[in-house]
Amino acid sequence: MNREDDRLRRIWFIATAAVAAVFVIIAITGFRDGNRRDDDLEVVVVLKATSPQMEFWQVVRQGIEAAAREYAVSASVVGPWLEHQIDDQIRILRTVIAEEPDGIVLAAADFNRLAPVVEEALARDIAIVTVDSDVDGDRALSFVGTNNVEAGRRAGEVMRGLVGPDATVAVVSHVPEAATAIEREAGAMEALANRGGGLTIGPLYAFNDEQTARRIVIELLEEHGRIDGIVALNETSTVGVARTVEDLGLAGQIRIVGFDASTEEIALLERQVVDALVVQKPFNMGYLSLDVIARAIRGDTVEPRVDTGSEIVFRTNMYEESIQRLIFPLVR
Amino acid sequence: MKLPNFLESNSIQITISASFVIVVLVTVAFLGTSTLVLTREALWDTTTLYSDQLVDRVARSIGVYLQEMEEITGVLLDEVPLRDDGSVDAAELQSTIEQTFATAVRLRSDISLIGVVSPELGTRLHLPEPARNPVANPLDSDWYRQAVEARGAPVYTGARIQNVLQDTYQWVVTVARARGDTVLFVDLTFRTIEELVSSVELGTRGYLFITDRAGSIVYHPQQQLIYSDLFHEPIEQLLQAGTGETVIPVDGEERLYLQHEVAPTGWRVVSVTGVDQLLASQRQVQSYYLAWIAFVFAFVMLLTYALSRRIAQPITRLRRSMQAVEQGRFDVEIPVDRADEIGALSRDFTIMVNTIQDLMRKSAQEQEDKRHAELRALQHQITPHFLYNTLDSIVWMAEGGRTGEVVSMTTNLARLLRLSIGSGDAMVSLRSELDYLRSYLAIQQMRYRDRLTYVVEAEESALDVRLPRLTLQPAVENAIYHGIKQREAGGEVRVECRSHGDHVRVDVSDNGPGMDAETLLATRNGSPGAGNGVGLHNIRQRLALTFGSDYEFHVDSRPGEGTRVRFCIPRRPAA
Repeated sequence: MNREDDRLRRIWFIATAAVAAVFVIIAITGFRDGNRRDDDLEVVVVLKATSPQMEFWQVVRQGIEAAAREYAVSASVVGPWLEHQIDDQIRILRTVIAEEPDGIVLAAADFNRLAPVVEEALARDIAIVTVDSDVDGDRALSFVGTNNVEAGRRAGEVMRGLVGPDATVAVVSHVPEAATAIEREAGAMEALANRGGGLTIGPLYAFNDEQTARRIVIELLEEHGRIDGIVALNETSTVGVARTVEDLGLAGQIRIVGFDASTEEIALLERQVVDALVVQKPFNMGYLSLDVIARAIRGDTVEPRVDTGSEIVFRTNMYEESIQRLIFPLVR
Repeated sequence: MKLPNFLESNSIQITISASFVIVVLVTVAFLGTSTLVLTREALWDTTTLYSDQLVDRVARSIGVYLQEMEEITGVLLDEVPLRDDGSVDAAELQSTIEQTFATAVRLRSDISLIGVVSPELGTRLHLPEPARNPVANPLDSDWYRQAVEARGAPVYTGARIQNVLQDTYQWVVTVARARGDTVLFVDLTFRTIEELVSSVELGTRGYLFITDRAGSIVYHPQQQLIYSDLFHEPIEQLLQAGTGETVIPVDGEERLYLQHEVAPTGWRVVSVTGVDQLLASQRQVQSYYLAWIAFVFAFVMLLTYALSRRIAQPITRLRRSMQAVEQGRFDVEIPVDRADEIGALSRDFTIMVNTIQDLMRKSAQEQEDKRHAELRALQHQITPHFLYNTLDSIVWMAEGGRTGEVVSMTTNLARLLRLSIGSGDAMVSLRSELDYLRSYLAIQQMRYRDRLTYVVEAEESALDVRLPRLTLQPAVENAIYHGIKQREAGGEVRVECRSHGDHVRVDVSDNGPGMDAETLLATRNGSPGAGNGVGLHNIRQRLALTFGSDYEFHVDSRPGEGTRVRFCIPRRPAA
């Protein structure tokens, strides 16, 4: 009898404890759900340029900051002062890798020279995603940015529409080694080929310098006498080329299709010095690159390429609501 | 009440516990569910009410702010020097702009630009001429046209890019008012609106935004995300839903929207709360409840165990004691010391066991007494003295050659002896008892010769009654000894047996000298010293042992008239 009593008692206490435990577990799960928040991920963003004069990169940065708030990721932004300081960027990226953050977002200043550094990061198990400018060999987990071949092709096609079939068109790019340059050149050259006699000059390199761009325009005019159109493949090239054309009083005669949408470029577009701008989405690049790196760190599979898209902006559509949202960053 | 099968168990403890558990679980489930439902509703109501009040407050503040702008633009418009024909006095306008407009912009940090647009003058700003963007032409803009059409009522744009300044493209909200075709416009930065909107807190993830009449965003905390197509508000559905409360699923998440209109402008202040955020707080409440339920449950379970044990255990103990008693062990301890019903039951049980023990003792004692009395009756019966006298009489009769008498006497003696040895049964029939008595009386008559006469009368119906062996003989012996022996003239002994319903009455009487009152009393009390009392006492004792209280026994006597011993016994003796 006593043994049976003991057995009963034990079963009773075990059952009670089990049911109570189930309740407690559900309760704790509920508490945790209610307070769930991801542990802060540490991400370092290495941009091509951090100078506040570089409007494009400032908007990328805004996108990164907005995403960091949204995804509860701590993101610090570093990089060389200006885009052509490739050695600086390599040095900075190495320092970042040594600190072993959870993830790195890189806008590669040089298509080839940064590739081995990306390998170094991957070798140390640091997730790395490229934004705007990729490195050679699809090394990064993902690339977030404009489909630059497509963007270059669209720039070329817009130019084709602006000038006659036998027009002389020059392509002014920024640097020979950056991925953005290589791809846009390819797209633009392809679109401008086979125009029925028209000469396509380039690509010529302005090396992110307005003065170089100015010199290129003047030399082109000296060399060819007449230039009907110039496709400029980044912000500096566009501004350099357009200002020179405006200064020479050739606005409207030399048609210009440029890239990006700095305030100065917008003003040039409004003054009809520039005919069209291929506008990328730097805010989206920044925002989505952080989204992708956060997912990559958490172990989700990420798309190898995220196309942030581009738009063609003319003077006629620049104040349309959707375009104005795109080209004018909201500064508060 | 019939319990469901699964509750029927052969243990009270399990039955009680299981019933308790079911009651507790059902109660907890019911209370829990209803509380959670009510909590959800209460949370929802509280949240919507709270949001509603917030949105209303913000909408009012913005209404007040825009009202203020209306007044300011009114005052500024009055400053614009218009000629009687509706045209603007350009010279005078310049001084107004330089003084009044510039001052207003300096005073109000939320006003970024004040300007006047008219077909004849073009655009005049509060800033010096070179700051103006020569390409921009506000005369072509929607807001200019709307302001002219509104005929003096203020027109508010949504968020837009102001391009009238050289190399500056700023997001502003423009308030425009016309007089004729001259339109005064004031650009508002988002500063004040943002302050008004961000002054309210809507949970951890809730927020407010403002749209204009057409649904364009005027202000949104994630405006850049919306502009970048990375974040969406269901503007179409909100426009359709109108003001008030709407739940709309966005990106797989239910969101609660509350819209209030800002009176004069058609703007709407919209609050957004994630339903899952509400549910998150509900889940927390749920967790509190579950934790509490777990505690209550554990507590009740332990209580149930203790309680059912407290009820069941003494019963089990009592049962074990009863089993012991069943097996004949009356000396068991019943270790239940309680004040409740089970205690009472235990005490009664103890009393019962004690009584049974007493009764058994008594019963054993009675059996003992019966045997003893029988033995004594037997000893009384055929004393050596009686045997000697009888044998002496036989010798004497044989010497006298009275062979017939010798044979008769010897025969009777033999029968007497045989009957007294008997079969060993304690109970005999009245018939056999009377046979024995006749033999005895025959012997005694021969001894006393003519001095003793006897009559034995018995109704046939009384003969089968059973009574203890040798009950009658002591009474008859007593009658002979006291009634005949001491009387020269002799006497008569009468034995009468009659049926009286379900009883049989036996009278043994003599017509001897009788007893005085004192002797009679002593005889009735059966005092051992009374001599004749011993035999009668023995009769009474054996009747009592056999029939309990269902008998009568009387001794009646009067001096000079004789003595009668009468007893009544039941036909069916007690089993």
